[in-house]
Amino acid sequence: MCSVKLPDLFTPDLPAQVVGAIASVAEKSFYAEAEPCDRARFEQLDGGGDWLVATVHFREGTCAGALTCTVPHSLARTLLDAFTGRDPLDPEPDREALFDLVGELSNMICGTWLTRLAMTQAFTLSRPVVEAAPRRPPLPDEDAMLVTVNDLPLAVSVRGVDLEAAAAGF
Amino acid sequence: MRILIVDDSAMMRALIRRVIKLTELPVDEVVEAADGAEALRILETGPVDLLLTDVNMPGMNGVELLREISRQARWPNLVRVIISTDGSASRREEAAELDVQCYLEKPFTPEVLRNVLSQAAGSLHS
Repeated sequence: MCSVKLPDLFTPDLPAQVVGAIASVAEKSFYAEAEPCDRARFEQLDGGGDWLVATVHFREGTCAGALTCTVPHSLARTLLDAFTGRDPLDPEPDREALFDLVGELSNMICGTWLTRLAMTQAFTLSRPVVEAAPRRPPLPDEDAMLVTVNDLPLAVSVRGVDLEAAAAGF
Repeated sequence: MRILIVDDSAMMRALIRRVIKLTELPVDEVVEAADGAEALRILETGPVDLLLTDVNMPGMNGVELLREISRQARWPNLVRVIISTDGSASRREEAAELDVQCYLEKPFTPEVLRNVLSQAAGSLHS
């Protein structure tokens, strides 16, 4: 039995809930500040270099979905420095470390959002899948939550799968 | 004191290890495992005083690990701490039934982790 019905995930409050989770993760884990960003400004923020896309799947009862974070390499490296205490003058972190960091970022944002939303019901998160893109990938959808973290762009999108409805043949 | 950190994220294990280093707790050794199965193997090979485990991990997850530890009843003095993104009441109740002394929700600040470690170390000596 699912305590949070899928339609309840996609209320008008969803962007504020997810942005709230992003801000909490940014502050507590990375000593960083997250602020909402409009699409026009987001499109202008290049971020520089490769981009990383991390997706974590969640499941709670018959409700399931996925949360995806899209970040430039520069933000991933900034967050990694804050998270690990790495000196920015040290040699570049390896690709695996950056992938791990962005995966953990998506994991914490998803977990924080779901904990605040469901409150009582335990949920399961998959191991994040992280991929690199040579340039900024197209934003997942018009409803993507766009923020800046320390003035660097971060996009988060959520999509749902109603397993109960799918099983019933919808 | 010998501490075992169980988390599939090497980054998270490194953060926890760094905070442990900053505490003034009498730590002899910190060992790491990427999942529950690896953690069990470490438990079987030597004494561990404090277990810090994530919940959502591939393979054997943190709850399955804690269930197995309870089932085997070989480590009655092991202090168990969960560090997870899942802060739901249901998960916390499940943890309490598995003799988990502390439950730390991610994200956390290093200060909060330090307090949890001190609290856990305190129950080790009580």
